Amino acid sequence: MALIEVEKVSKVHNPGLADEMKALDGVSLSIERGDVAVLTGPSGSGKTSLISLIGCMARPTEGKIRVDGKDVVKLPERFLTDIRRRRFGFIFQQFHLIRELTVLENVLLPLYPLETSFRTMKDTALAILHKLRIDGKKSLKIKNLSGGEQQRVAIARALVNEPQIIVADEPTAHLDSRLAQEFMDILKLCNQEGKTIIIATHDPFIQTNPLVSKTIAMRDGRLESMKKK
Amino acid sequence: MARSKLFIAFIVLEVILLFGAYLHGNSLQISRRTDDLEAKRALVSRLGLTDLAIWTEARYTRHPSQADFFSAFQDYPGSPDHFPAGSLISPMQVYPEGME
Amino acid sequence: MTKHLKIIDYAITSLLRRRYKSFAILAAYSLTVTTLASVLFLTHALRTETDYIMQGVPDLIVQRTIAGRHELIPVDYAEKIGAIPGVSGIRPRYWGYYYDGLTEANYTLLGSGGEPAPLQMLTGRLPVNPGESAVGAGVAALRGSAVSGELILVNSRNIGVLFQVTGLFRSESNLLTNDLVVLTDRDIVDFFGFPPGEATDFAVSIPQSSEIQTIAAKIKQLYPDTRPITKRELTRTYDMVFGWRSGMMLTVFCAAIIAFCIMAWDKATGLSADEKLEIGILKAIGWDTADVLALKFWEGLIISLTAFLSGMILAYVHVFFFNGFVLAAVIKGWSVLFPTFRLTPAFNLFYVLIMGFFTVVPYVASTVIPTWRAAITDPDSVMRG
Repeated sequence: MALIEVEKVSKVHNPGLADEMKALDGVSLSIERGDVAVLTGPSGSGKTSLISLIGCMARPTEGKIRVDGKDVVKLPERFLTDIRRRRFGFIFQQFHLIRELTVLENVLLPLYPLETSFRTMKDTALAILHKLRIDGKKSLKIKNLSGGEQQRVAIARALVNEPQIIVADEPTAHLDSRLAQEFMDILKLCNQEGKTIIIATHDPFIQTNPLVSKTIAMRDGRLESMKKK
Repeated sequence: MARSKLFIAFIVLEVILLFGAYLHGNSLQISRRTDDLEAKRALVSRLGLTDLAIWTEARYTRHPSQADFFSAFQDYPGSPDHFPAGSLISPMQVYPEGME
Repeated sequence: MTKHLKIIDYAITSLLRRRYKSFAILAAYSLTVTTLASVLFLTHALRTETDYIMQGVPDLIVQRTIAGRHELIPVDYAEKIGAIPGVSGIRPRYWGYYYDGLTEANYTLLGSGGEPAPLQMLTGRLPVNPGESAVGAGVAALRGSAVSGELILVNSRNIGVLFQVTGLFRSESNLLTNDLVVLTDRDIVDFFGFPPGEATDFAVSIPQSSEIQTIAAKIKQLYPDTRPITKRELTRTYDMVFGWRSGMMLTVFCAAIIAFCIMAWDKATGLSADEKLEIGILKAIGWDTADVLALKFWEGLIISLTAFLSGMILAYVHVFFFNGFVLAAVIKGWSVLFPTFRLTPAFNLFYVLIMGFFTVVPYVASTVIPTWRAAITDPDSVMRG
């Protein structure tokens, strides 16, 4: 059974309003455990909408999404949050870190609502920071970091809750090729640990990367092609 | 975690202080009642005092209870006036007998 | 439990992030609470104290009015009034006001009447012989009487009269005696030039308090030009003066309520794009709507509870340890002789709870409610930018 199954999913933003927009139209796909899947397509093709549906951040207007065999479409909000916090790690296009907080505080953020003790929480976060080689900057504020460092903090925050699935939206949009390579190296490590990775991007560097095991091409809210390597 | 514990400790401290103020006030109410307040009451009854000597700028502010509230043009606390204390004292309410 | 401790922790971090704003709000808020609570403490203590000491006031005061003004009362009225059944005693009171041009202050001159009983609140003794006086602490300080032992006042014939100070009222009794100059009854009559056989008013003793109203009515019938003031009316005056409807309370409360409204309005409309984004991020990385609301709840509670408790403590210290010096300056008005408020602390738990309710709850609500809408939206808004 696939880890993520998307079945005839449609998504309409602002239904019934003047700015109603159909972002997705009958998309079906599946992602296996351990896949590194890349969603490609021009802007407005529905990549971001699709990954926010997969990441349980929104609900589809129609269709079914199953994560690990469980239908998440009809789940109450509390359970969706729970799935998000246990299974997914998110890396956003603008990183979305809180600029006035320190590196450590940002990485700790996903752990606050859990019942783990503060000490465990801090140990976990420090371990991740160490792994990503930015533990030296843990007390610096985000606004004082370079783009590459911010990227790594964003990854650390995505990994701190030990997710099975990492979802990234245009992660290399603001990085030069050296930093992009570094990013892929980190993802490779994660993949080797058995994590599934889903990236929405139109960066050819990622699309052609040997790590990628599945390429999903989108156009106008529809699935154009799905290629397995 | 340190911060939340510090905050809780601070709140607990403030609650204790406020409770201390409560005990302080109540114990003084009891202890002073027997000496100070009793002595003041004796003073009032010996000299036949009727009012507090707080505002000494006008007759009706020095002796609000003695101000006559019924006559025309009398400077009682309800009249529009030019002393600041007049805005602090509310007019004495007088009910017809049996209407309280 | 651990979770909430951690959320409190993050709430503090988050408040410290905007530390200037947070501390400014905290300071303004504490100050508002201090002002309100000072007024509450002061008026409540004044009421408690006057309620108690005013039990000693005369049962009935009889004034005379002519042409709508308070006039001197003929002493021979006392005969008929004293004969009314239920009246156990009547004595004329001689008192009046004196404007001291030198210090621009008003004194209250009072005849000592009766025998010089020893008084705990008086150092020395009440005047017995002509030319003797007992003065309040305020007058003594203004005129240096404590040192010189003398007091010179100018009488109605424009002649300076020298009084020997035989007694000084202790400053604990300031609220009652600050502007008092007690002379013998005969000296008062002399000094003001009362027409012979007239007094300022009568103090009537009525042992049976249920009869006071009836006797007052009888006096009014007997002498239609009199105005009896009962003990109830005397004591109730101060309930009115320091009641919540009095100007003092209303003025302060209005200001405070307006301040709160401005603050709440600012909060309710001020959910900035940054704050919305932050809520979105928190939700995206695994915070529940309830967690976000808990965070905002704690943020509001930390500010308001700290402000409330600090404000109350400050107010208590201000009113009872520093004699309410800030507030006193406000309510002083134009009095030259103003007593220090050395009050017996009175702590009304009910008022404190009411204050707590009205300061903490609206603030927390105005922090949490605007967040609500941002918190229940799907977190994918973060992704869409």
